[in-house]
Amino acid sequence: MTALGTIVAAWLFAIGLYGVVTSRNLVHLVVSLSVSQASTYVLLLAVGTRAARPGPPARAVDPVLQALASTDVVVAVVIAALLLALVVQVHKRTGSLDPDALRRLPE
Amino acid sequence: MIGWVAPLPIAVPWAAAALVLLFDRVADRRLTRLLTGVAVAAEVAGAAALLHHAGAHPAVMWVGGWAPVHGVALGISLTLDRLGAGAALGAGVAVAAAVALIPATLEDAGTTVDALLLVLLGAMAGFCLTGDLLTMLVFFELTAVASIALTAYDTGSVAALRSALSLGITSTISAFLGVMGIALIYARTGALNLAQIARAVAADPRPDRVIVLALGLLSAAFLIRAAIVPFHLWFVDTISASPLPVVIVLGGVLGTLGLLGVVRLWPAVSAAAGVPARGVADVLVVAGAATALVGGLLGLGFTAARRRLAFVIVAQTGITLVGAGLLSAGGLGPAILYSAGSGLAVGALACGLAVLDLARPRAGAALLVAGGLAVAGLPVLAPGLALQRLERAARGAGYPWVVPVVALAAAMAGGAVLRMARSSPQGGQPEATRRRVAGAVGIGAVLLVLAVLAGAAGGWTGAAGGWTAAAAAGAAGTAPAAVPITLGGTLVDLLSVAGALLLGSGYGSGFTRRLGRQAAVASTWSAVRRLHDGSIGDAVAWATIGTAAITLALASAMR
Repeated sequence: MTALGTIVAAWLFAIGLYGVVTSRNLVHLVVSLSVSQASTYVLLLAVGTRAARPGPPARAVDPVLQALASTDVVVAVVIAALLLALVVQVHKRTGSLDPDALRRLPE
Repeated sequence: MIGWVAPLPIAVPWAAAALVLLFDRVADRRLTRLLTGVAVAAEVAGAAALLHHAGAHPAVMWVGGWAPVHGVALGISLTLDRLGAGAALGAGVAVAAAVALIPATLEDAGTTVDALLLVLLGAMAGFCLTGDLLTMLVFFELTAVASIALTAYDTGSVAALRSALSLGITSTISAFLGVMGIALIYARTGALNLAQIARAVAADPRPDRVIVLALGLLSAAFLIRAAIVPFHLWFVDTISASPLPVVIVLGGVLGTLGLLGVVRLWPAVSAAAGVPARGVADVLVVAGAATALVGGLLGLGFTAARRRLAFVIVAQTGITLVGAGLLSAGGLGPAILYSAGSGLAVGALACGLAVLDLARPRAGAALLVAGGLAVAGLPVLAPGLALQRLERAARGAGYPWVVPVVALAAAMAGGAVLRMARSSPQGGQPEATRRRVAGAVGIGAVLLVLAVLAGAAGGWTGAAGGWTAAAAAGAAGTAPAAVPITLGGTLVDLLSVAGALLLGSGYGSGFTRRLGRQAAVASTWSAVRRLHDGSIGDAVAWATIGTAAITLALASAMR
């Protein structure tokens, strides 16, 4: 696990979340979520590129974490597709993409 | 011997979901309904068989025969213990109630709803039965995807779309936290299997900051899905906007499964990681108590029936966390009984609301009142019988303040339900057929009877051998700790019920109205309302704050 990888992951996660929290456009919001998700790829790959435990090649990578990262990419695509489908429906119903246009004061 | 049954609770609902969609065009709706019903019944039977066979020690089945070699688990295990099998059984019962309620609430529902409920059921069963941390997270993600689609079933409603988006985004962020936690744990231990993680951590017993950070992230991931305050904003919105059958599953069982994740995580890893159990218990018990109080209070404060129901569920999850957070068999046993009973009560309440929607105010109100008494802790049904044991376990563990807090939360939650019954609307759909009404009333009544039976099976007397005590002991790895019910505990239960009746009858509403005129109170209340207006940004911001708070609290408990 490298310090650089960890720092990049934390940074991506933070700016992605900032985008989600402050977003004024639902498509932008879903893309921000994807930025945030990129942090998990970076972290997984950073963890996986440590020197392999026992055995010769010193800079081997761990295939388990690469498998996790590729699974993570697939999940990201599914989630983004599902959320964007909802965004299309929202636009159809309200004619707006502003998340704040969906807010209603509860009783 | 029981090995071949183990994958069935996961595989059968999924296979049935595919078949249901396949038959959608060619077969009669009655056939697909029958298929759904049979698949859910098979899941319930399979989980019951696993529960029956699960002994004091978990049986392990390696999927595809990929058994560990030299102590390294490359394959994925199904770890069958009473806790997991019981949770899978509870998930099956909730989905069965939901499927049965569909004809009464979503008359023209297509096969999609059946298929999605089956996918959700298979994923929940997988989450309960697997012994692999990554697989747990994957199954939990799948429950999220299925719930998003179910919540957004009514695409004509803006509130449904908004809550589905909120659920989707919040649960996705919880998955990121989970993946990061898993990556960090893997970095330290090189393992994904829970048992192997625990062994690797135990081999190096020095306190490890990376492991603690990972546990904090994973706990936050699970608590977000359990809707513990301040992670509850998406949940309240979702419960307010989802179809009632979906409410039974999301509110009755899915949140509790989030707590199951925490329970699986901590005893296995934390003791070995050098984190004092007391420090972790402090964090979880306080979080649970705060959730219970906030849920009860806001359940009374808001007036829309669905929103009240949502906060009642939040309060119940908080109370369950108080018991589970003690991280002992003595606390977990009552927590299991309480979560089973409160899940059944939520089902009965959803049925009551369905009957009200069918314009039968009297029958609907009767179900709500019965459910409200269960929520308040009437010591005949499972929640009440569990509450007093939970309070005693907390007092014994050095948290005497839990007793009044939990009793007050139960009274407020019960009072909120009784207020729902009092302000039940007139009108609705006058053309409702007798059959639909009878269906909804029948399901609610069956769930309440199950709540009585669960309480009785949990041991009226608390003699050793109560199923919850045994399940808790299996999960915590200690001898069964059976707690008998007592006169004092029963009196506290009855006090809660009396409080609920007072609050439910509108006692003190003059006082709250006067209080509401105070500028400070009025501005606080309007801020609380604004916080719960369904803003996605707010839900994510509070989830972030909560994650940071929980991780910091756990890190400081480590010292």
